[in-house]
Amino acid sequence: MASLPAPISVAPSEPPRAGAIVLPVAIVAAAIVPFAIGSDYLFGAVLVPILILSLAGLGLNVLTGYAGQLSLGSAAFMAIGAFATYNIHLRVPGFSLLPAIVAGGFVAAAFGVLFGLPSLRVKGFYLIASTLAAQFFVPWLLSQYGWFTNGSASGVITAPPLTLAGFDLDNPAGRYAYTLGIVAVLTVLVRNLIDSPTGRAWMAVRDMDLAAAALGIPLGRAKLLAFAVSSFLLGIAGSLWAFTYLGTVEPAGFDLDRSFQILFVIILGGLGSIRGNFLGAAFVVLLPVALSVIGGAIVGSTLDPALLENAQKIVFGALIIFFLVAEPDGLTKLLGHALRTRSSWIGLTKPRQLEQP
Amino acid sequence: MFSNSPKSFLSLSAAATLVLLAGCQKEASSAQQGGVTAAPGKSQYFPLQSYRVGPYAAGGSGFFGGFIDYMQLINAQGGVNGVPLSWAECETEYDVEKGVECYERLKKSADGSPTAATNPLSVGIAYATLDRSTTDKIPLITINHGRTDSTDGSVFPYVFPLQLNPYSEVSAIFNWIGAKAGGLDKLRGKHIVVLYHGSPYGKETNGVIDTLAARYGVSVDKIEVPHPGNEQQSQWLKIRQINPEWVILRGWGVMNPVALKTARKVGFPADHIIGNIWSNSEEDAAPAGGAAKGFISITTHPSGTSFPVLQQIKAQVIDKGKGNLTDPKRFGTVYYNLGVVNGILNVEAVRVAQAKFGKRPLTGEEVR
Amino acid sequence: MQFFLEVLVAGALSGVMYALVAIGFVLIYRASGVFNFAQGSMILFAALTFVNLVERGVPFWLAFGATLLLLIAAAFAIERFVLRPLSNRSVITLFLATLGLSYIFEGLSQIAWGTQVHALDLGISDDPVSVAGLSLSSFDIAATAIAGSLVVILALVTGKTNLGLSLRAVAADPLAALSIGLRLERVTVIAWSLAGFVALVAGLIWGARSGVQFSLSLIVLKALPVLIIGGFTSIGGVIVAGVLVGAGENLAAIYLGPTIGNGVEGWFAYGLALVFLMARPTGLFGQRTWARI
Repeated sequence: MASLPAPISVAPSEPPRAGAIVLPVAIVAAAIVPFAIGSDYLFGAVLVPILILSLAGLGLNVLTGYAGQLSLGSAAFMAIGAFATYNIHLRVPGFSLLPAIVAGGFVAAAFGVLFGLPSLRVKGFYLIASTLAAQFFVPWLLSQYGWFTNGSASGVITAPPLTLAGFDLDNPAGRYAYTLGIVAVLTVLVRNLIDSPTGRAWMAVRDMDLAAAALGIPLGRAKLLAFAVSSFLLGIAGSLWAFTYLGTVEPAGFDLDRSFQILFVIILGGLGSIRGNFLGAAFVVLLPVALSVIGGAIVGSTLDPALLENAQKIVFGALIIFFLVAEPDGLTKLLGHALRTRSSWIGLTKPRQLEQP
Repeated sequence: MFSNSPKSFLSLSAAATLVLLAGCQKEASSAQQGGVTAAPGKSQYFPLQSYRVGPYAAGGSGFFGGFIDYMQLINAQGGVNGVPLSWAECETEYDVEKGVECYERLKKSADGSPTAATNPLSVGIAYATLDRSTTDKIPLITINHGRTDSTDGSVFPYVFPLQLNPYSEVSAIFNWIGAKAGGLDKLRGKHIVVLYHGSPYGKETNGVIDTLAARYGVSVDKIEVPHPGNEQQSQWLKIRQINPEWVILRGWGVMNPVALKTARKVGFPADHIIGNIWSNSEEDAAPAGGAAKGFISITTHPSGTSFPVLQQIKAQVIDKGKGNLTDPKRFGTVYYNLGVVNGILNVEAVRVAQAKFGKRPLTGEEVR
Repeated sequence: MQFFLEVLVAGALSGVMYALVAIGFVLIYRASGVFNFAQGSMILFAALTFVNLVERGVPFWLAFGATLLLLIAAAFAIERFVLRPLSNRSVITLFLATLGLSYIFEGLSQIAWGTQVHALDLGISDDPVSVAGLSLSSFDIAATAIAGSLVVILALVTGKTNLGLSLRAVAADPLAALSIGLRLERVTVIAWSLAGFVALVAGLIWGARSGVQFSLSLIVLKALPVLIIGGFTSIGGVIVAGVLVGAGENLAAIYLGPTIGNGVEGWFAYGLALVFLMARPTGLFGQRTWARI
């Protein structure tokens, strides 16, 4: 290989102020609308996983979309977050669930830095060795030593009841509200971080690392910080996955397929985009449901479920290729186009008026 | 393959159930078309968290094929005391999170028919939906697997391990080995290796095995095969080095044929390998070809197609083109028959509950 | 000591089988710069197609040829509908596209051939044989021989023929190759077809070893560390790396397992790959031009 393309191609990052209005509106809408129309199914099996996968996508996007480091080990950091939270909540007196979740995020961040260390020496494709090592090592470690699962014979842990400041949130709507609160706060924080010198340093590392180094950006520190922030977010996503979505978790639940799923969230949603994570997560969660509903409606109950499932797989694979070919900037770009249909292309300089819903 | 386990542990021996049931069935009334034609809300609904793709598809498609075919048969014969059965399927790929999603999606039927019970056929999914089942008052049925402590109905009132639970399964195997050795007291000093699947299911029995090993003075080595188990070279080299009297194979899916083939490769005799409940199907042994010769496994339900209930399924479901199996050759295999047995047990539970609550679609709480 | 040697040699032999999978990656990577994650599902597709044809009474070589034709057709389709539209895109985009491809292959093969486990008998005995006092698997020895001859054939094809010359030219400098009139699309199709052939051979051997079923597609995960250690561009390198990984994994499982826990082999190869990566960022025999810091 004489010449290699830049490590990754990404969408021009969203203009800094684009989300200034959209984000609060979206949060308020997410806090009100579902409660008006929500059913247990909508909360428990649709909205909560979408939110959590969005957060996980946000974490991976920090690393891959903004800082340009490919990772195939997202699920490992989710697992660390979930099990750290579980053990801190269980063993450290005085830690209620919410502080334990935050602490679990910090434990995941520490591991993120550890597995990010090879990025100081290798980059591009070979870096996947490090994240894959994490992907296979962490679930093994968690299931191998009974201490992590508090001696559960089968490695499955059960979540404590969900309460916050004395309120019982142990019902689908409560779980949704709890998840939404955490995800909203973190999304706002990340958005501001991306908008700060740190975020710009990441993008410089992503787009041209040698130039970034020449400009005096400490490459190693920027990369490790990206690993830390990314893993922190993934760790919290993992805790939420275990404690507000499934209510239980086993190490094997955070396998390579989960890492791929999160990767798909950011590819389909849009690399280097905050809004894209939410679109991508919604797409990943809803597509299988929609396909099986549509498939069932067309062919009726005589349809072989195995056929349906495999057809779904094919559709998923084809869509990924389609997006990569036709719209590499993902759903967020498509949505952008849709919002702009009536006005002419003005470019990215005046995004504020364009992005208003 | 032959089955050989003490009858006392098989209080719900499937063969007996099959015969018994066949005896009490009335002649078929054949009018039913397809699965569900009853008025909305008037059928007994079963959500099926099935898996027909992925590494464990062979087990899932056989089991759920049998289960569905049996329910087809019941419907073809007019339902349970006139109440037809309905069901909806959702693919889990043996994946816990998808299982939960399916549970939430399917727990209420589309037409308002009450839900009888869930049968996930996965230890992980069973764990994950345990609390939900209790909250939603839907019985969770685990056939030949599940938590040992769930046998005690007071701990988890909505969980029903059918046939063998892990404890009774392991003791059945120990008893069988004991019988071979000439009595359980002769087990002292023997060496056994447990080769288990690296999953919640695989580890489920480890505690029980330690207890029993201590009781009988057997030394046990437990060796894990990482999921999915298509590479077992080192495990079997180790087994050959240990050279135990018996190997208990607690496998699942592809791990089973690979175990048998690898055993042959290192020269460990197949007739000293004992498969557990989930290592005993045609799908487990056949791909291993000659390496499976002599392989022993315990079972609660023989394979074969000669049972009256299977003949009825053949006549009234499969020959009418309503069968659920894509490959009709798998009719009568172990997983298929397990599905049929599971269907029978589910339906019988409904029947018993109907005797108590009347001949109408029942809620999960009543079925319990 | 004898047991140690047996573990070592048995591991090395199964390592050759990992290398057999990894070779498919190398062929494609060299010709089109694509890290083809779908190689594993191509193996599944090839083995399932072959075994189902044989079970329907098609003679061995006819089934082999028919499967190969299908794989070549797939190579054309992939070039036309995936790689050509994505030319000049980043390696990571191409990698992600092959992830999508692997989903398509898995779905297609299971729709076409179902999900049952099939036995595949190549007529190679799998009884243990005694070689120099060591008890070894005759199947593994035969598989190693097949993999070895495959390597020789591929080395000849890519080394001595015009085709090989163009493959190497494209690998060395795609733009220069284009400017002297080489047709990139053709070279790409040929490389993917060769990789399909390797996938078929690997599928048959792995299928005979562990049954033809879905898990075949997961072998790709064992081939990845082999590839990282061996370097993405060297067939010889992945063979050496395969032997290293296979032997190391086996030794670790037997001798480390009892102290740190069962199931070490799930991640050991990746740990090994990481160590090698820190020492030699381009792999054992990979080309030195690969970006490093």
